[in-house]
Amino acid sequence: MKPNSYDIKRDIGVIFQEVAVFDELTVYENIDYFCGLYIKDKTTRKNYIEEAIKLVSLEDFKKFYPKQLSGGLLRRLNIACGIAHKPKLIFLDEPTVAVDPQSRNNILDGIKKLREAGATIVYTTHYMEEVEILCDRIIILDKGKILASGTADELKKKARIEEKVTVEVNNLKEEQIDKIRNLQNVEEVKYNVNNLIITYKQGENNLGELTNHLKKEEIKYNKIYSERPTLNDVFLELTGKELRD
Amino acid sequence: MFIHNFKYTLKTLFGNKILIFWTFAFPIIMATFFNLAFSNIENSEKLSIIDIAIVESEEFKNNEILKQSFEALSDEENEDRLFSLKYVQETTAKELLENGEITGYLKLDEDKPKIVIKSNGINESILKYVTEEITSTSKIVQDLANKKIVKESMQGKAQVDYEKIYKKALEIATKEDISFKNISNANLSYTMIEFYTLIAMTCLYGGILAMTAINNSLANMGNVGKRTAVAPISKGKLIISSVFASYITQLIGISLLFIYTIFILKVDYGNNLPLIVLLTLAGSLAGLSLGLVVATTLKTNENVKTGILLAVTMFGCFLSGMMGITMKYIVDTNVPIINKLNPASMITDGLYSLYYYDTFSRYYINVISLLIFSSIMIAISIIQLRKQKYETL
Repeated sequence: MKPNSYDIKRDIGVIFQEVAVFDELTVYENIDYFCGLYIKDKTTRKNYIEEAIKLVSLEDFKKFYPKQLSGGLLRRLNIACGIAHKPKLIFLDEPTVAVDPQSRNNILDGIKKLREAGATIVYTTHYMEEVEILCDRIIILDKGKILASGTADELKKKARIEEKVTVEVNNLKEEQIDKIRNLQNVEEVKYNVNNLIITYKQGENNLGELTNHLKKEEIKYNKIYSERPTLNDVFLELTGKELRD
Repeated sequence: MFIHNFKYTLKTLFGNKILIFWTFAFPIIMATFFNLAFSNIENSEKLSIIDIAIVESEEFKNNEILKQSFEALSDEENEDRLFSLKYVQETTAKELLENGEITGYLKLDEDKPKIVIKSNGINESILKYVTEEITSTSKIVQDLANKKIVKESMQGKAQVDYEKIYKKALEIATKEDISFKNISNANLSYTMIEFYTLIAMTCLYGGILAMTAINNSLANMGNVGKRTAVAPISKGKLIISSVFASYITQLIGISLLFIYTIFILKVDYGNNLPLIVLLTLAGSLAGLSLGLVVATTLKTNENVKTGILLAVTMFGCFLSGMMGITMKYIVDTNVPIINKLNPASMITDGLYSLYYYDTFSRYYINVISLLIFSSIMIAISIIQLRKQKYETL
């Protein structure tokens, strides 16, 4: 794409991670300015602006200046400025960073609506739960390199994590942990304070076998539960990281 | 798109309180301070009326130029008169001088003016200087009159109208005298000098407006710039529109300064206001183009760019005489090339030339210099803008 590929650019919307609006313009004026760079016809533009404002629920803040808005409302304005011209391809770079849960839900709902309206969305985030909710296809990048790509289920299979069991148990001894580690299908065992976390590679009825073992060894526990791995687990497994950079 | 961006650039510039303070309010505040500070200096430096006497004689009565000149310089209806004049006999004049009631007296000795004073001082010097000026003017008039008489005699005219020729010559002398007075007044006006540099500073501050406006179109200068960079619009059109809006904003600021100084501070810019306006239009363009160059060539953040632009502007104004006219004189004498390249000097020099000179050649040289400076700066900016490419945003 060249700088003057205007026909292609017209169908693209970009929402940057940092809020990109004019402090000197109101909510309505900001959306009008950026939409006006794409849509010349005033009537069409007016309708588009109203739709964008409705999509991000900023109806009550049209005459507010950015400095009068909370962080969440500001992010919603940032999105409205990027999508008001109804692009077919939308790039969103971490649009929910540092926003309150209410605004976050609103933003995610808005993005779902855009997707339902037919837009292709490229969504960049560190929040894996958002990826699970929104994305059909996922690419996991680490230091600019693609580590894995596919649907959520495909990635979970690639990560070879089938099940994660958490046991709330007090005063577990080292030899007791070693015995659990040697059980069938166990990939990894971690014991932090009162939480024993066991990751299984594969297999069925892992939870049943574990409860039998605990009974046999007379280990008393408060609570035990099994989870399917999340994309967060997949990400950590694939990147081999404990903490995100 | 041009009008759309123009409209919103105006809104953002006028909505930026810090920017409006520096480009609109700051020059007005400075003007107020200059007016308060320098008008007092000028008032304190106004010449007090000098008491003098002239010895009455037939010779003096017949010396029209000398008589009329001293009468003009001691005209009671003139606020700026130099002398309080008494016609007395020589003995009375001596007594008045002895008693300290007059600074000195003038008498004609074989048609030559002679000044008698008791001591040396400023008033005595002024009396001597004025007398010498009038005498030398009188000699020029006599020479002109004689030449005309000879010329007309050679043409075969029997009757020569001595009175007419004499009056004509006197008119020339009077014009010279007026011109001399104007220049001497100009030399005394600290306020005007400061107002000229203030106008220069305000013109060049337009650069900050231009820089702010086009930063919003440059992807490497901020988030808004990134967003406009991905829009389907020509960067050139967007920048021209933004620059035009900043120029209009700048001209509104300059107009407010003129309105304030003319109507509130009662500053007299003379009869050449349209030419002063033309010079400020060119000066504002120079300031704007300077802002463009700083915005497009320096690879640093907006705050550093603003700091550099303000520093360059203030230094330029300093060299052009803002903190003392002596600096302009020193630069003009030792390194004149600096002031030939300094847009602040071009503006102040253009304004001085309107005040000092009857001809406009020096004024137009400064206007053309400003336009050339602006053209070069804009050309550099365009080259820089065409070079800019972003690998990532």
